[in-house]
Amino acid sequence: MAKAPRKLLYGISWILIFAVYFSSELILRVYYLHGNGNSKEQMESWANKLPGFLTDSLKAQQRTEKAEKDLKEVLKGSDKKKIIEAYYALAYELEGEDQIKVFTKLHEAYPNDLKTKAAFIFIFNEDDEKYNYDYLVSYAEKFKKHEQARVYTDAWSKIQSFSLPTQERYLKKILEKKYINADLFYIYEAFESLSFKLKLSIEIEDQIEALKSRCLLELKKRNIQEKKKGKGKGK
Amino acid sequence: MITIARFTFLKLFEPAFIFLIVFGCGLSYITSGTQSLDLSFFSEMSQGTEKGNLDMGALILIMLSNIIAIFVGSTEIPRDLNTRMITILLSKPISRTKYVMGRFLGTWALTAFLYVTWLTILGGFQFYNLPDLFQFKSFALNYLYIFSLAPISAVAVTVSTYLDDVPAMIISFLFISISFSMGSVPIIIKVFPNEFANLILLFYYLLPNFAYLFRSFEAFFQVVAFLTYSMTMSFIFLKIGTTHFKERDLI
Repeated sequence: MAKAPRKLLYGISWILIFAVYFSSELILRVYYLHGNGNSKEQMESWANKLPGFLTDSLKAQQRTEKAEKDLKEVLKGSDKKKIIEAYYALAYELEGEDQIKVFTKLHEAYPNDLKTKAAFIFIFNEDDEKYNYDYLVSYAEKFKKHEQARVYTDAWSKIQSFSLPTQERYLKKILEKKYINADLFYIYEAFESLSFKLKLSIEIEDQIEALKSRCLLELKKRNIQEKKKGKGKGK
Repeated sequence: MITIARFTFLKLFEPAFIFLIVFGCGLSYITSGTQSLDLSFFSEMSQGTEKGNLDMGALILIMLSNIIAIFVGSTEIPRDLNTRMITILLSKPISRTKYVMGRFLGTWALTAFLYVTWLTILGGFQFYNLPDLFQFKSFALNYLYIFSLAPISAVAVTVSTYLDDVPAMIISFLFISISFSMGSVPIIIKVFPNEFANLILLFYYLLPNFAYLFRSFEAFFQVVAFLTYSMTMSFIFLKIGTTHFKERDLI
């Protein structure tokens, strides 16, 4: 009979101990976080001193949430420049599928705007049903010739990892368009080895060589202009 | 229980501990004046403001006392078990619970004595170097940190009821280090509020937060909470240790 109240007393004393433990923890936590001189800035500076593995993902999450909020806010208006910037800001905070989704949304929202070129290049894929090589050609056609050259130049970073037949289509397209642009110099240089790999005719190789030389000239001109600009600024 | 505690406390007269006292006194001298030790992280952690009581010297001395508490607390029980001293001690009219409590009290008393000695010497040096700036009340508050040594001793003694001396020392050290890092959790939740906050808090409550035990005192309630937190925490750990020791095989 006496054992039951003793057990009850034992249980109650443990509940009391834990109640005291957690309430004192709460008081100490309040002083720890809101005590004298614990401003938000100070907390942030402490948080920044913590090891990266503890805070990196949380910081990234915070940035993503802010970018999402900013995008929602900007989408209420109609400022195209700000909307595109907000889409890019959000996309660069994301990874994998989420990033592709945002870039796709951006490009679908402004498919005729050259500013969404980077978004397209990101989602551009050889096996994609929509954003494949054929789409690149049709997309580039929307712009003026010198802008087309920029689209193709940027696309090379992806195309060089595509299959050889796609690379060949790309090479022939560039040669057909006869783009002359300083940035294309390095691509024509890459074409030299590509044409060897594809065993293309000597005529094509000569064409590549000729276009490369003209692009080299453009590159030299640009370098001279940049140097002049640099000197001008220096003065 | 007191006799067992006395056994532990008498280790103080061993040469290693006499060396430690001298070493601590040297450390008190180094950290007592205007010497510039670049330990800004610790000063921020301890929130050593002009209003606060915890200065660099006191914090270093507490840390040193903690390390000694881990070493002493982790080695006493395993040594008794390995040398069969435990059979002699428990043949006396003393329960296993009282034996563990005695080892805990001895460890706590030993480290508290070291800390109090070093802190008094630190105070002496501080008063000698900067008599105008020395604040008695603020300095006297530092003596309260002997209560922060209790949970550390309790953890070390409890772990030593499960493991041999070296593993107990390593596990105690790791446990205390991780518990110390728990101090970052409330900051993380405050600075980076997110949907996982509750999950992080759940993990946070699984371990004690030792960072709270080494903070400057700002108010009376904080002092009370500090005392109750350290005492209840020690009690909980000791309960785990004594329960296990009562049931374990002593061979």
